[in-house]
Amino acid sequence: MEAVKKEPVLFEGYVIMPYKYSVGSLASKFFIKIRDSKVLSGAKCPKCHMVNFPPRSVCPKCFSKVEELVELSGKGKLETFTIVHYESSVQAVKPPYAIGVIKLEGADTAITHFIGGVDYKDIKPGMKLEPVFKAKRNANILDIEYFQPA
Amino acid sequence: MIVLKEGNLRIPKWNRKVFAVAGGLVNYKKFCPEMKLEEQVMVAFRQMLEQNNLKMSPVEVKGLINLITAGCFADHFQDQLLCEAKVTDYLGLDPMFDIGIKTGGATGGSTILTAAMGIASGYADVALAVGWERMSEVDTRMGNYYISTAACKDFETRLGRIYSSYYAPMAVRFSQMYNLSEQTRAKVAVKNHLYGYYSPYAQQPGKYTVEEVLASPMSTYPLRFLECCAMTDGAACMLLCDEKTAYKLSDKPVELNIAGGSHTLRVADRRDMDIPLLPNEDPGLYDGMRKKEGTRWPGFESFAASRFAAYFAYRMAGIKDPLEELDLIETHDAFTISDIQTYGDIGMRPYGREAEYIESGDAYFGGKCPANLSGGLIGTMHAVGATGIFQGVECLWQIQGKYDQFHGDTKIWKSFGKEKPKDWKSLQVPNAKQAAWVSHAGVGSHVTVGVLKKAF
Repeated sequence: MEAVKKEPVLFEGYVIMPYKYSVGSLASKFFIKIRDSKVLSGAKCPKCHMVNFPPRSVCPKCFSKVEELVELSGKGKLETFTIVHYESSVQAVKPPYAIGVIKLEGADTAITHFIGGVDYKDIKPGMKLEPVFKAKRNANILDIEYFQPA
Repeated sequence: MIVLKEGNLRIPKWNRKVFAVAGGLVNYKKFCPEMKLEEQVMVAFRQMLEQNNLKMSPVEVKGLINLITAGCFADHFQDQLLCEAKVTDYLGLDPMFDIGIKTGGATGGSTILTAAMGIASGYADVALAVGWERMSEVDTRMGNYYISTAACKDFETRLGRIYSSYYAPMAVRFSQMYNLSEQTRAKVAVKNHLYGYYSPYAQQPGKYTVEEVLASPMSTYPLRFLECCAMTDGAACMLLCDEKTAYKLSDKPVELNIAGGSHTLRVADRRDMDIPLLPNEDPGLYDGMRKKEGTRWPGFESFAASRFAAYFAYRMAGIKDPLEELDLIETHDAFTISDIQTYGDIGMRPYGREAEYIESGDAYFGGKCPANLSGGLIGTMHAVGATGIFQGVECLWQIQGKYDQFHGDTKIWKSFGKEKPKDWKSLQVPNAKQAAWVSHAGVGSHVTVGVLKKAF
């Protein structure tokens, strides 16, 4: 056992796993709207009028089929936030960066995204925010660069 | 708003009673290269069979097991799916049926819940709940990366890639809504590192001060490194039986009730719902809180899955007032904030007054209902698939009066290559009769609450 403690044999390998997945029928429309028109939208249930953001193609409350996307202003109110200091090579941006949970006008739930365009010490829950879109967009959530004070 | 109907709120009921009789742990550490995974599981399995004063030999007890529930969250770390088949084989339990369980941080609790279902239904008389994780098999940052995929990949995972960034916003929100100070958060870290100091199993024992915790580097504002749990290589086992077998095997069987709850993986998507009340909470208790503008329950302050698990488990176990009737609890202190949030969910205090549980002294050894005498996840371990089993085993040993046997024995310290501290003290709760533990996943995506009750 002493020999093993001194020199445990470790096998070093790695896993290669490129992947793809479908974002779904209604969410595809949602991301295309962001990419092509810089517009955030919610899925409005025709029966119970709940506005799901992010959109769902079936209402979780009454099972109605949801096909309509309603445009949202994109403006919202910051409910809570953090500033990430922990650094690793796999993050989308370099720390420190701020992440907020933002309740959008006209939606029943919120979105999590970066907060930017503001000194981090000035970030306060309750502040009004609006999205800033990237110049080059690829139909995913990172097409929004961050939310900034409105 | 989510509306629940009568069937959703039906209290689970065992068809026959379920008992826990024995448990096994290992020397939790960040990196365990001297043993492969199966060998580490074997250490826990043998401690369970050999050191728990069972009235039959280890080989005879092994011959009674006919169901294995096996918890592991991230088997892809080892480039090895269906790892449970390898473990079952290695433990000498082939060809008994094993079921792999995977519910994130709550994997251990879910593993025990599934084994209990096997006993309660009559499928098995004796079931082994076993869990493990080898967090060292990828480096810490890669581990954080993979574990952070336990969030919504469409809308959240890509932003953070570090799990504390999902909990830190809850800390900001909770502090704002319920006036929680960072000192109270730090006290949880101080307490759990200290209790880890008395445990031979602990990976992160330490005698820190509140000032030292608050001076430790910032991980994700406002959470500091000393407020975050360990990443661990480790395993844990618990042996469950029906009533007849429990008394045949042990002089100190402990009755088990356990239930679970689940909730959305996407933090921002938490829809408002009515608060299900615990047995000690009067209707109307939260009317004032619910009327405050901008409040949603569970919001970012609380965990619906924890509340539902407690709602069911307390009623299964006949608990009317958890703070009064439980002699100790083990909570999932992955972060100081999630620990404090849970106090409200499981009724140590009503929602909004969680901090009182720490500040009153109730949560400390010698207090009304001490929490995490094991050292918890901050002081002792978070080997994800084993964690909920480790917590249950620590509760079991407390009720059996075996804290000293398993924590104070110099031989155990020595076998782990550690020296028992000269100022070691016993954290055995005198005459402990009933304990509960919370096994928790994601940002509250899966939670089990188990209740163990003395039956001897």
